Amino acid sequence: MTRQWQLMRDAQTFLDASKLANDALIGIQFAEIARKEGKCVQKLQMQKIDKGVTLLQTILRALEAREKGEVTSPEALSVLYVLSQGRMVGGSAYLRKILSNSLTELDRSKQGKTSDLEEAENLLEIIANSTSEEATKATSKVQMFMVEAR
Amino acid sequence: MYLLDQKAEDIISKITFAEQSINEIKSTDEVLKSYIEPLGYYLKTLKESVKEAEADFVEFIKKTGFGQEAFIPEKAHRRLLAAILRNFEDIEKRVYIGVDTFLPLIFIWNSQKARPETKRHHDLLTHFVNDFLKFCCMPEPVMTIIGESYACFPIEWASKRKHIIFGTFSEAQNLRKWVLLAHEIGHIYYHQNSFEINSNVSPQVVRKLGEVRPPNLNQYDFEQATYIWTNHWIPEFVSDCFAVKTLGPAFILQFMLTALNGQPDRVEFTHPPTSIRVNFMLDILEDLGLSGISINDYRNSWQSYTHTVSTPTSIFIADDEVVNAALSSIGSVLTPTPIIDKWADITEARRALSAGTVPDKDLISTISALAIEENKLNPVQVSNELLKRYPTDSDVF
Repeated sequence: MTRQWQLMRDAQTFLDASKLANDALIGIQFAEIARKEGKCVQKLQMQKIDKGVTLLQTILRALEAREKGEVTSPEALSVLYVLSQGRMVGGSAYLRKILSNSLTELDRSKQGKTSDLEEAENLLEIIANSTSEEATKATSKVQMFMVEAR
Repeated sequence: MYLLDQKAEDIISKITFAEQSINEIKSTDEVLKSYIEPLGYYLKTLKESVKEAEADFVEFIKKTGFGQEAFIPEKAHRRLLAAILRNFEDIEKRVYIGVDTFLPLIFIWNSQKARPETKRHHDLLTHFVNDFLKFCCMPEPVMTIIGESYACFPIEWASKRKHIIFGTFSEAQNLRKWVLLAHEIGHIYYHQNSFEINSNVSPQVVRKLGEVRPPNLNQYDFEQATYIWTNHWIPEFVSDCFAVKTLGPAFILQFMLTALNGQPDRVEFTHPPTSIRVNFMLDILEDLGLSGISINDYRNSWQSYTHTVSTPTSIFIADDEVVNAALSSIGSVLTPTPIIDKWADITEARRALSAGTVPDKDLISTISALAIEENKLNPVQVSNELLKRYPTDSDVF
């Protein structure tokens, strides 16, 4: 009776995750360009990267909390579901490893110790793409509902 | 001018149109105001998002020399442009979900309140929804619209969430069906109490899913089951539980009529199997101990159909242990039982109906009694009588 309720909520959840991952990717690319030019990374771009750090930390915490039987947010579980569709994630242990590696890469990058962010970039790219894609699917269904309703 | 700049202009133009539309509304309608204020704030945040996305694109042009003449081979630049484009795309989705879906509803709301063809039924439905919200101690001003089905439409504007309740136009006179709105309002209850519910219910379900996980189940199927339970099925069960604890047998009976079909065990992405839902609700009803109703009659009549047509299957997502863990924790989290205090009024209203008169009772009791009692009265006759008792307000515009 309330499929549209769920679709609206799904779309909003996925768009929130997509925004965080996408902002982080934008920040990472601008930071890389700045480094190549031998310039300092702007504060704004660092803040964008931090959004990605927060997102990855939230997912990692959700994975750990789930294994301990603790409270996990439905939003974080939504991202885990989307991630499980990707080729990178074979199981929780593997995903945890990728998340940890990505967070380490981002941390080292912020300290200027490395510019290699391959794992973090790939993971954020998967999150941004797949959550945006899920949001598109949900939005299309909402559109169909609204057309029928009118 | 760059194509992407034109796209940004288009999005800004939509947002500006929405701002102008809501600024032109002169209504003193408090319900409408409670939507327009958060929407106005949300439109500002959307505009800021577009400006930020535009600034990223300007910076991209500056850094890469992109001139819309040829593609860019550099990997970092390509990734950056892809991210900027995806950002614009997501903003457009936000505009659609938060603005395009809602804006026309303002005019439908105003029109249904004002037009003689809809005004009286719309007012009665609004009255019912408002009474119901007060009855459940949920004093949130809610927009109610006569639409194509019973539904609760959530709109999220930044951190503010509002809901719109829809009734079914073709059942505007068949008032007993309105009890189905109890489930829809249950979704508002779920949202208002989601932290407490998720803290108590979700971990039990997630833990049980892990325990009963078949060894050969792949990660995707496991994550999907977890996602379906935590994001879809738990809210549905909570809304069912809420509906039974507020309207009791009235909701269950009308739900059974609506849900009765040849596949009571069908597993859907969005909703748990109907049979599990009905059995859960009947168990709650039994625990409520309301006088004068036979739970066994309800159970037997439902099972006479479903047991005849069902083909029980054992699937991971609907594993008995998971279902039991979910339902027992939901039942214990939702403690208010308004139906218990209301039951005497509903019983009196039933007596009046069985005597062939429209009860001299409040709207909730009368409509609940209509939903339970096999009526001697014509539904249109009851509807007309209630329309007389609850006259429309004078024109609000």
